[in-house]
Amino acid sequence: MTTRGTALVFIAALSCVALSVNLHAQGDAAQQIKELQQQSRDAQMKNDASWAQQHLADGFVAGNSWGDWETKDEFIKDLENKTNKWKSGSISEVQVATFGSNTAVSHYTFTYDAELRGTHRARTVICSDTWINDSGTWKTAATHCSMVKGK
Amino acid sequence: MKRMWMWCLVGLLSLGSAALSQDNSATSGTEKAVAALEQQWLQSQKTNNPDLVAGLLADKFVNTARDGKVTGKAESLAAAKATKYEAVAYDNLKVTAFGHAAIATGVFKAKGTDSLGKPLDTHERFTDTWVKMPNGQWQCIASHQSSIEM
Repeated sequence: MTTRGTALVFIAALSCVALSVNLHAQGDAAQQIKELQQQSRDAQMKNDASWAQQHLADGFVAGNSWGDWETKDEFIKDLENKTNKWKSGSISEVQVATFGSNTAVSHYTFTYDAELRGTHRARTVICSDTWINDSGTWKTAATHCSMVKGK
Repeated sequence: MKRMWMWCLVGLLSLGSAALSQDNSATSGTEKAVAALEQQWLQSQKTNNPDLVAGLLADKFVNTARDGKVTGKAESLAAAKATKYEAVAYDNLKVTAFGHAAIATGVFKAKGTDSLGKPLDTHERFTDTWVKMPNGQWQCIASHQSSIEM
């Protein structure tokens, strides 16, 4: 093999390694976000505001299935509101799409039964969450849910 | 010696302030750029011309409609082509930048005929997620709508 040939094989091998590392990193990010998604709902069920403090980005916005917006502060205030009670809640069909190394969107279904701001809501919603990598920590920049069925 | 330290401090503060100002201006630039793209999207609906929005949607774009229906780019564009709008408007369009991503939220009001030929009279909130692609172009990667309970 000529020197040129060896160089080409070397470059091709390096490209393969880089591509493989990149795909692995994206796979890791998707798995990490799936786990964070579950933690996020677990925290919500327990009215755990500390998780939200750490994992909601500044500028976070939530759009709920009955058409209200909430800022990060309002969302946390709601979590701290002891009159909001979660009887049950589970997420399923979590899918994550990554865009580069710093942005991802997760789609999932959330079925819950809760007393929220004095209203009983038992429904299944479909949600889209936007995640951003803030200096190595994945944070939610936005969440938006719409009702599939229920009341 | 004291004077030298003072000049160093002034220099550092100036550098920090310049960096902060550049950061703020980049954020404001992102917000303006994405708001303009949202207006282009509205224009495509006003003129019933989906070609205006096709390039704004990423290949992996996902739309979640207010009834929970999830569609990809091709299906969303086909639905846009089949929908005939008579009137459309945004209320309270707001864009927040997060580095190479941005979130646009607002209220969308529309009247017309939907893709199935049924009368359309919608009042919904939306969240659009935009990402700056490696080629420098901003594209929408996800859009989610929910009905406003009246």
